[in-house]
Amino acid sequence: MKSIASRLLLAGILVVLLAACYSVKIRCRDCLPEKDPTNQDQATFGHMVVSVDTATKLGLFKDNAWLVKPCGDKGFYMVEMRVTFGMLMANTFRKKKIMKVKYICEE
Amino acid sequence: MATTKNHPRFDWTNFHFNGGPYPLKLMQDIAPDKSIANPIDRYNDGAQEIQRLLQDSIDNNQRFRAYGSSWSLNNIAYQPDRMLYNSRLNLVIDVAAEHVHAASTHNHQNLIFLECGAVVKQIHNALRQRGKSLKTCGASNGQTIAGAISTGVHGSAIDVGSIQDGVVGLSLIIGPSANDRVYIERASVPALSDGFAASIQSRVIRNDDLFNAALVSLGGFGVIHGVVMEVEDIFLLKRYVRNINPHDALELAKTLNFKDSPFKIPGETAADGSGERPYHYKLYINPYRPNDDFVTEIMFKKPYVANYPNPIPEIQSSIYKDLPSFIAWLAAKFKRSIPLLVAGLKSEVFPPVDTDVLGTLGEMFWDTSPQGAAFGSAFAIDIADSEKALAVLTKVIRDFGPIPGILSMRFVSQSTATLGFTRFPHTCVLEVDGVLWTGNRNIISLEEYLIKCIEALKAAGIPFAQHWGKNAAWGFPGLVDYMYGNADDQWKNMRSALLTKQMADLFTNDFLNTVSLSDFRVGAPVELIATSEIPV
Repeated sequence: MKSIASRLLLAGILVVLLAACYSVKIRCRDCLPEKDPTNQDQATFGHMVVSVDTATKLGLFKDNAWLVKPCGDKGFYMVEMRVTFGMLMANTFRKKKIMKVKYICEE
Repeated sequence: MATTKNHPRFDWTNFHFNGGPYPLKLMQDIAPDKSIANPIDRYNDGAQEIQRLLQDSIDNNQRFRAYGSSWSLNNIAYQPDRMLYNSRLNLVIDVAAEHVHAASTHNHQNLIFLECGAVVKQIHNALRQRGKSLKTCGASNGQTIAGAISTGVHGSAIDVGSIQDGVVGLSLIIGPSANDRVYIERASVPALSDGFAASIQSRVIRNDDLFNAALVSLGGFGVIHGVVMEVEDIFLLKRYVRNINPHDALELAKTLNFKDSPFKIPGETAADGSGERPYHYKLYINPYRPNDDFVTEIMFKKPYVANYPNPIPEIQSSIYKDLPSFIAWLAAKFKRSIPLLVAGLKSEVFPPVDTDVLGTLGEMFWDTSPQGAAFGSAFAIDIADSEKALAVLTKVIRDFGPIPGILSMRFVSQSTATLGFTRFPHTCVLEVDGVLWTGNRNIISLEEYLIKCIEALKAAGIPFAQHWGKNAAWGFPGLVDYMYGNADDQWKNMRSALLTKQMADLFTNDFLNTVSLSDFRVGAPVELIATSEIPV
């Protein structure tokens, strides 16, 4: 019985963790991505991906953070913001906000 | 000067993670010199760099193969010595009126010169800005133009050929010397002038047989550096997705007679009530529920108008990236779960029924996202055999499977390419696509399944050919002879006449060896590739 209960608890936790883990991607409809033939990652195959994994302090009266990055003389092809359960917890209770961003510039 | 970055000891794989990773001695990443403003000058500069790389390969006694988006679902793009990533060489150049051949019937505004690495999406965009469109494209838009034509990428435009059938001129680099840049077109349908060929520093060969052989070259005719494509005025497609009963669907598959079919789309009928002929017709079939209605995707060509709703959904979602691997694992472990999985994933693999949208060709076949290791096999058959072939392949899947995939049927006109796999007057492309699985004691392997398909079609006496860029039992004895009769000899003769033995070997790879297309015909007469008279 104990074993079944712990498995159910584990499954419940897993469901919560999975449900809290998602990403939002903004993609330019008619743009082309900057190329990188060495990138053989499944989701971004052949594209030049820049990952930003950082944290910033937000004061009490601030509700947004800017991340300023160069992208050649064009623009962004894709920007992905990832949210995980850990980030949700940390960002809710700490001033320091974790940011996980990936982007691909336009060719 | 164009520059090349070297990546030694690179593990190469393809976009669909189909096979591999394949060990590679040297991956070369060529980039154009964007400070060269004149596109033809930049094109020639790129050609010079490619020739330098060819010479370097010769000097190092290594083979050489150019590749683009790695789109093919097999090892056709791979060879283990040197591979040149050419997708940054992607100029799109307008054809000047004075560059059209005097005997040509082409309007220069309907011709476009594309460098090898231009991807289909980029071409769609560039043509749209000019009020033009490709005549057809594949179901996705990430292939480079050189890769797409050399493997025979097709759509389901029933009265149009494959992408390569829009090509009217080919600019090849067949070696490191000045004489090794050639511009090839048909003598019967000349397109561009000798002056154009001179501008790209190429010698001209006008020869129908050579052109047709080099159209679907499988990478064996040297580096395709540029292609001249015939395009048309931009148009819109009205797309409908409907359920269709199998009887009506297969009657249409066998005849493409939409006029007399009981299946009609309201609003797409003539004044007498008969059905209009669509631009595109495709069927989706669940092999485990053959008596269910099929799903059809059908598109009608419409004149272009500027204001129409954006057909590309603003919000999209994708499945967990590990889900296909999980499905493959589940399928291998519990093969009886496959029909349930296919049914459960219907909304992911079949288009949603009763959706109608309007958009350009480029919008209808927009970006596809990679979703894990995939397999795809495609058999070209005469439409008259389509129902019989569907029954044969469904039986293979049910008798030897199940396998984690679904069936679809697309339709396309005959290719003029010597080794164009869409080789029947009206070809039905019968496809099985799904997640890549590993065979074991419980489940047939992909390789065994592909052999069973060939054996079953042969036993049923159904002539067929297979898509060069997809999975097939390529080592099946006599496969290419069975599929193409004498056409493969014609292809080899042309290749042997155009290339030196040294360069033919340099451009050979394992795939060409496997399908027995790599052998060089010593003494192939050069007359084979002589320029022919242009008919008056």
